[in-house]
Amino acid sequence: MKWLFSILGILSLILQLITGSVPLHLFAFPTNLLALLLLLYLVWMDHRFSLRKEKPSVLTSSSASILAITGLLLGMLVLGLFPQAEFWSPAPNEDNLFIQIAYCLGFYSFTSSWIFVFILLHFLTVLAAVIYRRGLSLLQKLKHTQKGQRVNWTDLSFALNHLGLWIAVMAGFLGSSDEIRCKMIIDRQGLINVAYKKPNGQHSLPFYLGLKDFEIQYHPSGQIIDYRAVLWMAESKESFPAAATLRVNHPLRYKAYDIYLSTYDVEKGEDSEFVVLLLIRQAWKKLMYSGIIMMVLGALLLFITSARDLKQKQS
Amino acid sequence: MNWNHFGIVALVSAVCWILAALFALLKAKNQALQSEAISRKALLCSVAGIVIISVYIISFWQYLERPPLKTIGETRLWYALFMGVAGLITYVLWRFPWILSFSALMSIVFMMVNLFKPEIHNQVLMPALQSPWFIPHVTVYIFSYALLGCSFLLALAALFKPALNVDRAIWHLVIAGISCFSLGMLFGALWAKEAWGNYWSWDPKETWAAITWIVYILYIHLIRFRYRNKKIVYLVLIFAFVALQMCWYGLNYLPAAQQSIHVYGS
Repeated sequence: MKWLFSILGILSLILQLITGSVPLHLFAFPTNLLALLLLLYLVWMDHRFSLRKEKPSVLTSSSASILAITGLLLGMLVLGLFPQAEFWSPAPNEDNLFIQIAYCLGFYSFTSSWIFVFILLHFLTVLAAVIYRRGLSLLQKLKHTQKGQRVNWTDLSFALNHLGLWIAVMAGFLGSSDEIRCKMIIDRQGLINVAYKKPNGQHSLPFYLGLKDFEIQYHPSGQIIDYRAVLWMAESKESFPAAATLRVNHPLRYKAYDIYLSTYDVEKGEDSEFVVLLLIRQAWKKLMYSGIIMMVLGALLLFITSARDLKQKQS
Repeated sequence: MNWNHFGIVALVSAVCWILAALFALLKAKNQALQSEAISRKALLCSVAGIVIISVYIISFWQYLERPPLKTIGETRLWYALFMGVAGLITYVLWRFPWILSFSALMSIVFMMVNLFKPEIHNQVLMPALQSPWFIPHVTVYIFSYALLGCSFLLALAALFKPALNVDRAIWHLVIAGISCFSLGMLFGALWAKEAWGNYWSWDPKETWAAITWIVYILYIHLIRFRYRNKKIVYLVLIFAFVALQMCWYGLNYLPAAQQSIHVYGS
């Protein structure tokens, strides 16, 4: 297993140097699902191997956990210290050797570099192995637990924090390739279904939208408190449209899309003849939410159980 | 009640919280830091402060006929309230005798800003900040900074004076602090999804929050795995605190982060 990860690490470095950033569409469905199954298979194989050889599992050792956390930390430091392409780009014909090397390694758009993908996959594999092993021992423990015995809150806190983190990172990372994110300009002229995806792609939506009305609420001091648009929404061009109000920061959900009111013609203000919408479809959204909710509960439980442990030790 | 009544409300709740902080410290001193028992008087004063400011907020809500969440001054009221609540919960659960002093100080600062800068009463929050997530997101973060800051001071002391027996105190401070820090990050993720469509967008502030979080997670795992080199453990904690400063305000000075949605006032 150590060798496998060493080879994969070197491979990610070579791929980065030769091909540059990861093409995002490469990990779209079903590749992301296959990657997930492969990851789980590695975990299972590691467990079987350790049982057969009667040796401790490689992926669940303390050094594997520390290595996975440190790897993730180093990756994050690259993201934190090197300005990312979204916010900054180096001057053309940059002479500085350090900047050139960092550029070749993908440090300036690190979230789409092969090295970052490797770091995350390694982290997810080690975390999955730890959850699997702890889960098995928990099941054993439950089998021997007699009725009426109290729930072990520490085990529950471990499960919520680790499994929640794994689900959230996995859904965010593997699900990002399946995400549809596009912008749309609608006006009062009629209903359309064409949105624009980065960099220059058109995206046809499975529904039609148009603008019915637009309104801005001002504070007596003249500052904007809120703005909202009344949209026409229809399943097809022929069907009868229904009106729905869309407020800034209060997205609407329609046919698996989250629709956000992004902006309007700021020069014309309330008389704006169009509004810009942001439309997002995240197929892995529910998984992400469940991971985050598990982590919220895990953090609360960690706070409470550790305080209880402190009191028990004192008494 | 409206802003005209805020002065007296702020004064009474501040007195309650200062008394609560003093009672907690006195109790700890009398017990010679042995049993760390809870002071009932501190509890009573703390709850009284919370009730007073809560009643004011409810009555102000009725006066405005909308939730008081639209202006900067109105959000400061909630900060003051939640600082008091977070301090009380942490005192009851963890029994850190100094925590009520910190929460009282922070609440009083927020109330003083409202008293001495009345112009912010009408300064409208930009629409993106008018979210129910804004107040819990900020207050749990500020609270975690206090707990993690104390763990840093103890780690620094232990690094130069290895004879000091502070490891258990550091551990409990980090666990309480990182729980709050995690909640701050997760509330932020839920809010970001609601307002901007993404849970996480690798904004520089988010990245530095993730770095801080991971360093504390590294510390927790080193302790859980019984790592023996204490100097390294203390250095990890010091590094974690440096990352926390970067996340909190250091970012404003990072040229790479000037486009961050979290860099304010530039």
